[in-house]
Amino acid sequence: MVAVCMVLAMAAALTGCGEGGKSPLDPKNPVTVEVWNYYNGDQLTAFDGLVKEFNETVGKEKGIIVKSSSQGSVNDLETNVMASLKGEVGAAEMPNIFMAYADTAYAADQLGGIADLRGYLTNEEISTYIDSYIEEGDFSGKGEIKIFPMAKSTEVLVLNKTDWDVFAAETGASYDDLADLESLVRTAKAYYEWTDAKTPDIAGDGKALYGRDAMANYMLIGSMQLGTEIFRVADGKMKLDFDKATVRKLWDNYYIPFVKGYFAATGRFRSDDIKIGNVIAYVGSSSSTTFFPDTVNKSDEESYPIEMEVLPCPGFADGAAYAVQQGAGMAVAAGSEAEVYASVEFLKWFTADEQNIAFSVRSGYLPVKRTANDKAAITDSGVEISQKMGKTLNVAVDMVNNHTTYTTRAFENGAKARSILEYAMSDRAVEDRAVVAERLASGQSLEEAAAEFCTDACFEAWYEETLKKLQEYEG
Amino acid sequence: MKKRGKSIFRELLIPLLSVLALEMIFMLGALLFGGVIGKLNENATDMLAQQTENRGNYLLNEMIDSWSGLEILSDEIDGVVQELLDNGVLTLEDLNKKSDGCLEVLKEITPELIDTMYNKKISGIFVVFCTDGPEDAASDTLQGVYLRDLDPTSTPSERNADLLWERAPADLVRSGYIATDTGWQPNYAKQADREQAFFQKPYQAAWADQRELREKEFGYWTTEAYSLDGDDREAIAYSVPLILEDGSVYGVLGIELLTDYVCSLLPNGELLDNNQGSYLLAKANGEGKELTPILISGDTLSLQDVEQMQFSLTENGAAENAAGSYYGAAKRLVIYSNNAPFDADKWYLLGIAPRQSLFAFSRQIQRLLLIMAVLTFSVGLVGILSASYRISRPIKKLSAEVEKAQSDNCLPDLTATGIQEIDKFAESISRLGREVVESSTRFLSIMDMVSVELAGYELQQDVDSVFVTDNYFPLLGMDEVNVEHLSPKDFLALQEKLYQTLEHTSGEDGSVVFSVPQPDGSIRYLRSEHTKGNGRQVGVIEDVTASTLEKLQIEHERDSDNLTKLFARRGFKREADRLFLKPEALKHAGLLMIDLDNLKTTNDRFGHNFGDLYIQTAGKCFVENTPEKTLCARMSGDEFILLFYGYDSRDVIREKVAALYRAIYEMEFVLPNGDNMGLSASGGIAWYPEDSVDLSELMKYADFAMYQVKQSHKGRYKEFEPEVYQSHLLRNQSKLEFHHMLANGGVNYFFQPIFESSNGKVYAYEALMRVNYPALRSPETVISLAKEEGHMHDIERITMFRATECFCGLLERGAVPPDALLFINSIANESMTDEEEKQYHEKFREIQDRIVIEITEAEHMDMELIRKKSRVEDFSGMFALDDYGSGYNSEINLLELKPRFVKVDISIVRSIDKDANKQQIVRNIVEYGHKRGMLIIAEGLETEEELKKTLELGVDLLQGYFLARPGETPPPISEEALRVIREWSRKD
Repeated sequence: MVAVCMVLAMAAALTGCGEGGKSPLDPKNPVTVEVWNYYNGDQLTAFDGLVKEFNETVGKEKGIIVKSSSQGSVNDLETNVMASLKGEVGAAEMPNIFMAYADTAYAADQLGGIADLRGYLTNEEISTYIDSYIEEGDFSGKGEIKIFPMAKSTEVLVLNKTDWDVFAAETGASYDDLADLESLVRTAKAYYEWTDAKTPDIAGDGKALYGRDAMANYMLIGSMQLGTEIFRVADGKMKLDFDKATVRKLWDNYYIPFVKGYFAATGRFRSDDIKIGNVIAYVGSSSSTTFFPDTVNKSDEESYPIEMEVLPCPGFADGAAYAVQQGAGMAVAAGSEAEVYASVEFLKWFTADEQNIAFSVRSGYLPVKRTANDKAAITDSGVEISQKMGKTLNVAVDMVNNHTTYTTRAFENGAKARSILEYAMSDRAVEDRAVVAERLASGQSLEEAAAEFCTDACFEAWYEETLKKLQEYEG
Repeated sequence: MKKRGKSIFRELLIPLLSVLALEMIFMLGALLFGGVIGKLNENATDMLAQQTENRGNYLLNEMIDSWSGLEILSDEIDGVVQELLDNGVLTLEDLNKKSDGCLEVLKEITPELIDTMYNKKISGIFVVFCTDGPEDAASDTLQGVYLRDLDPTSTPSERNADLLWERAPADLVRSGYIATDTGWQPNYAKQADREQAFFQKPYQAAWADQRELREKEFGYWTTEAYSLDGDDREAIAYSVPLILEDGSVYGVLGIELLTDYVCSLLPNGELLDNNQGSYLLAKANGEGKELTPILISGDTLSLQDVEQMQFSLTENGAAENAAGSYYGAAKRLVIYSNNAPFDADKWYLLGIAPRQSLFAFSRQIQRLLLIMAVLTFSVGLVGILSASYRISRPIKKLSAEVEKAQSDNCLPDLTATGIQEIDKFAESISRLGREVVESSTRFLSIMDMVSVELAGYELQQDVDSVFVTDNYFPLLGMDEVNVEHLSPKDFLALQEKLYQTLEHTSGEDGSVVFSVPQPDGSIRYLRSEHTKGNGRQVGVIEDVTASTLEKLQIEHERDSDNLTKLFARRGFKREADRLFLKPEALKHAGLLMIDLDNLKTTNDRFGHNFGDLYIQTAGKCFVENTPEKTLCARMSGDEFILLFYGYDSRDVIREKVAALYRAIYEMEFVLPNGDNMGLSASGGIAWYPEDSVDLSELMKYADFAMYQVKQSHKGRYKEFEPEVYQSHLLRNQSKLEFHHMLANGGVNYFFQPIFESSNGKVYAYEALMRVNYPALRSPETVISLAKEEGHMHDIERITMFRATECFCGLLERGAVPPDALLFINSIANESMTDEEEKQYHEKFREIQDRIVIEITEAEHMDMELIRKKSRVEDFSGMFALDDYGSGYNSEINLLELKPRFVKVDISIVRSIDKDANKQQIVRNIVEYGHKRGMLIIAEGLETEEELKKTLELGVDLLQGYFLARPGETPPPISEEALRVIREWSRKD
């Protein structure tokens, strides 16, 4: 009898010693976890590679099969998730895990579709993640975890070093001239004039130095640097603070150089503009450097190789040190105990240092754990790092560590409000720049052509219009 | 005491074990041979096939109806290009290089491409321009676009945010609404791009074809997953050439499907549990069986794996890998039209699965049943052993008690076994044992007292003792045997001795009759009988002297003839049968059947006593005048039979028979009235083996020969003649058939047409009798038999009725012209009775006016009877005189009958063309007849010459094989005859 009892006790101990609770998984009858992401290109490859690795190792052992599929873009993903959650006709079945920004996760949570993961993680485990990442998923402020941080990014300045070096050599410009926004505008003007001067017989054919992805970030982070939080959120309600002076400064440092042709944005992303030789520098997500081309196709027939350089994202010269914290987290859909458990198992594995760093160096995203978000840790991880990625992570990790990272808190229709910030200024700039370009082509000087747009009235009109649009989303 | 039989334990155990074993065999047999496992496996493959079929249909539907439907788009592109060409904005050469025109085209068609991509839910769409032909296509930088949507199933994004350029001119990228992918190129500049099958295949096919087919027919599905230069996503594509109205091939339009996306449409999980199955998209070449994998959707296998496994199609429409470890259900995807340029690519969707997993269920069942079988067997075995033991133990004990009791010679009350039936049984045995002892003692003393003629014994093997009645051995004449100390062995030895020393016969019932010679010379017959069984032998002997003697007497009397002391029929039969079993003893034999002549008259005249003497004398004569071994017998009254046998030839026997007959002739004895009388015997001989080897047949033949003698010259003998016998039989057979024919009207009529000589038209038919019996075939035989048997009247009646009836049948069927006459051969000296005439009239009133009675000339024609024929009511009154000129008093008949038709006899017609006399006879009758309104018929015409001559002689009607043979349905006139007649009538 004693022996039997001992065996039973040992068996209990063995099965129980895993996660402190009894696993609802059965390796013989594996749980399938469906993951929706919006990755493309290298990010998707990196993600799928890790999923495969998981399925073949830990997943097999524990009885979890992860199936991932890309929904294309973050907006598509959001639309599809909401359609599934609302049970719309023709919608796909709700995935177990989906990538989500706070806004999307919040909306889904309002429909009761998101599981709180607090119960699946020990405090010790939670503390290994960077605080602000965990906080992003605490919609109620009561310590719940509705978003599991997985990979984050921040913004950096990416440079076509090859073409920059020519300009720098001739004009004596240096990276310091790209260190803050005001300097950047000045340098862009100089670059325009320098390029214009290359063809003395053609006036007004100067080239843009710089472009920017994610205009909403520019607006939000720029404001923060200048002391204004445009969307102040409490209890899921947004209070708008669209400070006119602050916004004017943002206008002067983007719209004005844009209509003058110092800045540009023609391709879908600024990396596209680099590829076709439209600009030689841009601010974009650290993850965007994976799209940075090796060559520039200036015309369709000729191309030349370029080198990439990554610099910190410039802020306002006298502004506070804020950097954007972006990159969606993973929301786990409410489901059976086994499904949620299996989903968390996967996410924990994915964010473990080894995997998280591996994903980072392939995708340009940043690790989410304190221990991993460290240059030495990344270097020492033994994962092979491309030159581009080395430069990116080097700068990005510093950015995160030396700046206060900021991301808007989730609120109702936050995504729509954000899209106004994304397009209001940039669309107007593109529109007006087209008029200027026409005028230049008809022989006007740049000053003449742009004069109409560089007025207070022009700003006032845009400001009022935009303010009105934003106020609609105030809670 | 020795053990007899088997123990009860074994008796119980063995059958029960056998039943158990049988059950196992049935169970396992049903499992192995019942086809259940096969059926289960079949079910598994069927389900796999069904799933594959469904999924294949879905995929095919997508491929054909959705993905490859590019007609509208290509028409639109053609329209855009054509319009720009017409407007002079574009030249065809512009499409080959970076040019404003080319950019314009691409700008204009991009929205259409995007729409199509979204509508079709495909992962990519592309256009490649090239107007230079396949040779230059390989070297130039090609213009075009390649768009990709990584989430084809999602709803279209605003601002096309989910699309990527893979190929597009920088100017298009600059227009800003679509992002470039990492592998973006401004054009198809790299060689790898230009060599892509999705471009080369349809382009070359269209170029080579010289606009024979529509764009769609050049459609090509890539049979190998490809990736674009600078990109590592694998895809398959479908593309069609772009062809302008005037036939210029200017590029290729296609759609792309990422293999991952296609895989997501082929959820392998639905094939088998635990994702063990995979969907494999593969291609076979033409009629080939080998399959080239295109892509695979599965968790367990990679494309490289299946390539190495070498799948091929099997005969029954499924597929398997080279090692046979995988089974594949195959669904053919017919994506090309017949004889389309790429029709040789046969696409298949396979649902493949390791046989091990596919048939896992049946294996599980097998294992389960096997375990069940083992369990059942073990449980059954234990149960049987314990039950057998429990039942047998008390019985064994009981048996031991009984055994002990036997040696003690007293049966005590037995111990109860606890089994009700056996206890009752044991109790009964005890009681019975006591009763038996008492009653046997009683019986034996009675037997001793009763009889001296009955004796018996009992041997008991296991008791080793003999019981013998005291009179047993004395009865057998062995007074000296002392029965007191006789062992069974000694007894059996004595018994054996009896068989050796005494004459004995075995009876049918197994008894033996011993003949025991008595001192007084007489014989005592003892019947001995014994039975064996249960280790016991019991025997009885019985004095049967009286009955045996009586039986022997009877037997002797039955086999011999009292009067002659020869064998009687029975005795002869027995002896002869014995001989006929031994041909070597018979050698040549002669069977002589003798019938005494004149016995009846002798009997009548001199009384039976003298008749008996006559027979006795004859019998004595036969015995005395034949060799000793001749078998002589009196069969009945005056019939004797003698079998001469064992001779080397017939001639020897003939001599013996001749000698016998000489003796018979010489034999004389005195009649009571004092006259001398000779012996007269008619005889017939049949030979063995010449005539037959069968006794009864030989007797029949000898009898036949004898009767022939009896009917001709009595007192002689004759050998059997087979030919005579056969004709006798045949005659008898014909007679039988004749009577059958009369009774059943088994006679048919054929009809031979009679034609008009002027035009060859049918004028009449002659009804000709046809009989069809094995022996009776010709009408002549029928008539001769009828005459002989006195049935001429019946023949007349049958002829009249049947011929008319058959003709009516032809009329009804329209097989003869309605106005044709019918010639019926009537017998001159017979006529129907009044009653028959009345019947005939009632039945055939309709056609009576067309009946011609044909009278065959006869020696004595009874004109009275002939006139009676004409009195039949409604009779047409027409007679035909048949066989005119054949010899009888033709002229007189002609005068008396006054026939309407005269048929010139066949003997006159035969070779008439060569015989002037015959011609003259015909000429005369024609002249004579025509004057008196008679029509002359030439019958039996068989040659053209005969026909010509008769025509020439002015004959009115024609009949014969040359014109038409008789038939059940009469044939039309032969063409040759018709020609002759026409020629003749034209000459006229």
